[in-house]
Amino acid sequence: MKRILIITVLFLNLLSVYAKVEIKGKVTDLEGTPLQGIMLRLYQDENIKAFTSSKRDGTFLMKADTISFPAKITFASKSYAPHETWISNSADSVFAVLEPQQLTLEEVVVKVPRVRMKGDTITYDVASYTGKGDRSIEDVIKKLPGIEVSDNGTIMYDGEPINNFYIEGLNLMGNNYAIASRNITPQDISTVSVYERHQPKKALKGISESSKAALNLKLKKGRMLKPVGFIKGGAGYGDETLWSGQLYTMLVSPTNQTIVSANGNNTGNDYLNPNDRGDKAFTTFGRTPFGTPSLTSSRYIDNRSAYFTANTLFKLKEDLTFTFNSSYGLDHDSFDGMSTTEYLASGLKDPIYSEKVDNGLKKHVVSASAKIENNSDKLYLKDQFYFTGNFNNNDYGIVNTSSIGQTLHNRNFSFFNDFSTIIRKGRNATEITSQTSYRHTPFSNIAASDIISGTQIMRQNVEGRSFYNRETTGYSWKVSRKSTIGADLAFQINHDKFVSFGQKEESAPLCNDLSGHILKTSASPFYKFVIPGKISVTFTLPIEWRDLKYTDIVNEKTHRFDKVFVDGNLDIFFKPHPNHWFEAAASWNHDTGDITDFIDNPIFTTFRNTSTLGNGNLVKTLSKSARVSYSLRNPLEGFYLKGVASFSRKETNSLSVMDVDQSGTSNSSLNSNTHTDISNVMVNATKHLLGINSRLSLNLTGVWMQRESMRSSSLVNIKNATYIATLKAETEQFNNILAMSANLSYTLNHQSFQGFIPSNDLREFSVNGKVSVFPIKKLEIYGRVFFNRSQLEEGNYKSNVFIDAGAKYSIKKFDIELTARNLTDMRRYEYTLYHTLDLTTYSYSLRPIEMLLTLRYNF
Amino acid sequence: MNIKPITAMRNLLFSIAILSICLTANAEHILDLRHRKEIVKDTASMEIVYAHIAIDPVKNERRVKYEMLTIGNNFNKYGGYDNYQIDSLYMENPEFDPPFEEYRELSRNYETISESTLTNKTEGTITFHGKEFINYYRYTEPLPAIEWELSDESDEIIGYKCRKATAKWRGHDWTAWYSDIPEDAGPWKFQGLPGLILKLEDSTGEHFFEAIGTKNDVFPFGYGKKLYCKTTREKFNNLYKEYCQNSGAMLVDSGMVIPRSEEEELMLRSKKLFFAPIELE
Repeated sequence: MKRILIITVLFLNLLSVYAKVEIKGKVTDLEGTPLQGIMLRLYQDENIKAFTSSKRDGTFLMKADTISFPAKITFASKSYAPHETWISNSADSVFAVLEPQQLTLEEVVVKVPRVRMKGDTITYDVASYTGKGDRSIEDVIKKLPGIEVSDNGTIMYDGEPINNFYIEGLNLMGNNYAIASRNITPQDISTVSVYERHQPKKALKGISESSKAALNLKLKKGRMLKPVGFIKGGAGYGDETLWSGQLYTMLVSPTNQTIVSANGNNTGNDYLNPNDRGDKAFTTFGRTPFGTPSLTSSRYIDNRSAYFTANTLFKLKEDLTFTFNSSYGLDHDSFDGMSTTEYLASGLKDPIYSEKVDNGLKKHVVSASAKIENNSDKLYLKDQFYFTGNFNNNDYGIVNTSSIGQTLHNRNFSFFNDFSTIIRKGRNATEITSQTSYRHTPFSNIAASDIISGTQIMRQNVEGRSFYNRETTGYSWKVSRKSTIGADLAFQINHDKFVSFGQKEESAPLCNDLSGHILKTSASPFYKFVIPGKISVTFTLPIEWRDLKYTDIVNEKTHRFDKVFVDGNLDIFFKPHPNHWFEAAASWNHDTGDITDFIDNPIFTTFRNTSTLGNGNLVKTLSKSARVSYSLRNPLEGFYLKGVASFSRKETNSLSVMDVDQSGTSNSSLNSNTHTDISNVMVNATKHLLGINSRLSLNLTGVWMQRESMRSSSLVNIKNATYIATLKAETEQFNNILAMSANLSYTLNHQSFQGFIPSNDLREFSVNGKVSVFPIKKLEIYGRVFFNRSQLEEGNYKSNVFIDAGAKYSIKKFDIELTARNLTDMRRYEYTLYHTLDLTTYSYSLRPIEMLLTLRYNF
Repeated sequence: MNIKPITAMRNLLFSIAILSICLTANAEHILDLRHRKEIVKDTASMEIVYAHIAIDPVKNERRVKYEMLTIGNNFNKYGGYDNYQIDSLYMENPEFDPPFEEYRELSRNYETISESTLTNKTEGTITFHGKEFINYYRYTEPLPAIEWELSDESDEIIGYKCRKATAKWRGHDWTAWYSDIPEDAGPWKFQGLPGLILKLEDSTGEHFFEAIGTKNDVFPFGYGKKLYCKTTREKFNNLYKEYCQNSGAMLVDSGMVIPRSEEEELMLRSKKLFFAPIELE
């Protein structure tokens, strides 16, 4: 009874406190003038329970459902000082007198990077992204959400290389755009636009979509119609006197674009791509057959390098352009290293090779290209001719149990013509392409001799040539607004010749002399369902007849092959929302080998190692693959996410074989069925933290591979799993006085060799960081650190640290920069590495501590 | 990483503002900005810049526009931020009057928009100024009574503590985040909350507004001097929808574009403009 009484009293008490209320009153200024539009808020425990504005006569009426007293009322206006009062009941009117006071907002400068989006075009304001330390437009492009730039300057958007790099809508540089992106200053550029899923051929718009993006640079007003660029020169000292020089100039007008660049240095920076392209006689022989350290080449090579390029584009009519590109480069490099390799040889004592090699590499490349292109809605017409000449003169000094001098001299000339036309008539498009190339290696010679005795140990001459022609025609018909059907017809011929003659000391000569052709005739009907920007489904059913004939003069054999293959490819793109999309692809493709499969006598790749490129049987492969990906992008929020999963199986009748004995190694293949499985999962997320001026990027990758290989008559089932986690972080703080960036990477590599040796786990951790400080305007002081810690074997780790630093001061149009490299003066780089089954310990000489003072004039 | 506002030149703008105040005290003042004329209604004292993301669900296309709320004593204006930036160039330099080619180049760098709303705070009305094809329209309606439901949830937007409110209004479910800034205003026609709205989004994701900066520039503002057709909200919305969905056909029928073939005519007629209406009812 007592309990009921207490509850009743409490309930009545609550009713008296919480009630529906109306609060009224009036607001005036100091002189009693009624104030209109004053904002009133009724608070209960810091939560707004009711609000209103005062009327023209200054009165107000505020209604609230239930409140408890006392309660707070605030009066606010941008022209009067804030005022608050407490009320204990709703019966009394509230009167407030406000004092004049102008509200000023704390100015929040627009900090969101200026991004504009229109359809598939995202435009970034360059000034919003340019940091004080950014030297080239590439430095700015790297910061744009969704973009990655590789070490060789390739720009990737959403994980794929871009298909065009435009300057004011024109493609001057082709694939060599790094010359422009690495030298154009951000101050010359107004905006960078990303054209997503860019179809560069206007005549194919609406019929065929591209999965790749393009970039367009728009120059600032005032940077057109006159040459812009810079000239710089530098000198310094390390082990020898250092020098470097560069001239870069660009002229952009509505009808002409020209870029000229000349560079030279002996500071360790090569200009030429180390990967050669050409026919088999040329590409079979690598530039560094005795290995290179897993380091950027500028740390260990002594060089004399020069590079010159001239590029011009004329806009002859609205859609008609003529482009001419030319370049000449030379890299004279030298470096030395020692290596000890313990080869695993089943049933034998494991052979160990130990040698010291002095590499002297001279490479010259000359190239020129001319292109005329009409790119209009109705007609696409292109003809491009290019020429490349490669010249290598390499010397290697090898010291093992004896002193051996080896040389590699070769030349390669490539001519290529690419013709393409598309005629668009309404819904129909007819396409014709013709590609012809001729590659010739007049000689590719290896010779080795004993330096002390002068006796020749081995010599080998190789000559090769390759002719290629592919004619295609395609017709597509838009059967409805969304569906297109069509077919591509293609005829291709490859004619190759390969001649080699090699002899080691008194052994019997090793010879190959083959020539022959492959003819491919195919018809590829396709169906495309396209809702532009939303859905694209393409199914292709290529049917190909292959005819192959090679004549082997040495073995007096003729190899023939004749068969029809049916393949299938399916590509799906689905964009349910402008911010995210899915892609899926599946393919079933047959392939056959080429002349390489019939080069069945060994070829020397070094004085002691041979490689037998084929086993006399045509390699036949069937590749089955599937790939799915999901992309999410929100440029305004600076968030990008991409996930990819893929699986591929390659079935082939060629099993790779490696034999090792005390005299050397030999690579060959065996006619035996085998397969390789590769699975890959990758997730990449990038977030620009606009509030704290920072960018974060996380990449997680897992790759699993399974394959078979033969080592010294034993079949080895190799399983490899690699897990890589990479975190990139960049930040600019204290009004951009401090800029920091770090790239952290962790790799775990698990290898197992079933039935051979125990499995192993190797870990590697690396950090690449930079700190820049701008103590006064125009002065940058920076330091860079490269740290790497690798596991060589269980419980055994090796660490390496490189530290570089510099200072740059700008005064008017001049930049003065002092750089210091390798401050720890690390002179040797040593590590141990598993090459599948073999253990190699390397030791390379490094460039010493070096200082370079550079003066640059910008115009 | 800051955007340089073309802005300020506050002193100069302030003197223009004072001049305009004096003139508007007696009569409607027309400000000649050389590239256009503005009928001045008030003087700005605070501005909020918003990023507005809109999605056309039919075209599956997304656009980002930068818009600005200009706050005066008696009027508020909501219009394009780029329009203001171009106007600033003319206001801060009386000599600035580039030739046509240069002006076209200048316009290419900005994305002006032809819609604006002008709120008359004293009378409680809002006037919409818009363009359909080549015609200018305007209509006035009472300030919409949006029935907001307040919530205690809070968030921080550009440094201001904001509270959440939700409402169903003209076909969309809206969520607003309003601040303590004592101004009953927000993006477009949105208001009716006890503080300035700094963020606003609809439940379908078709519209998202977020304040990205504030300013205290002082300058005269109003609406563009054009030959407006007076209309109603419903009529204009229907007209604009029709225009966006049949813009290609309208262009062909107007004779401004002459297709060279039947195919081209079909293609042109099927062209649609970006259409993401804020009001569905």
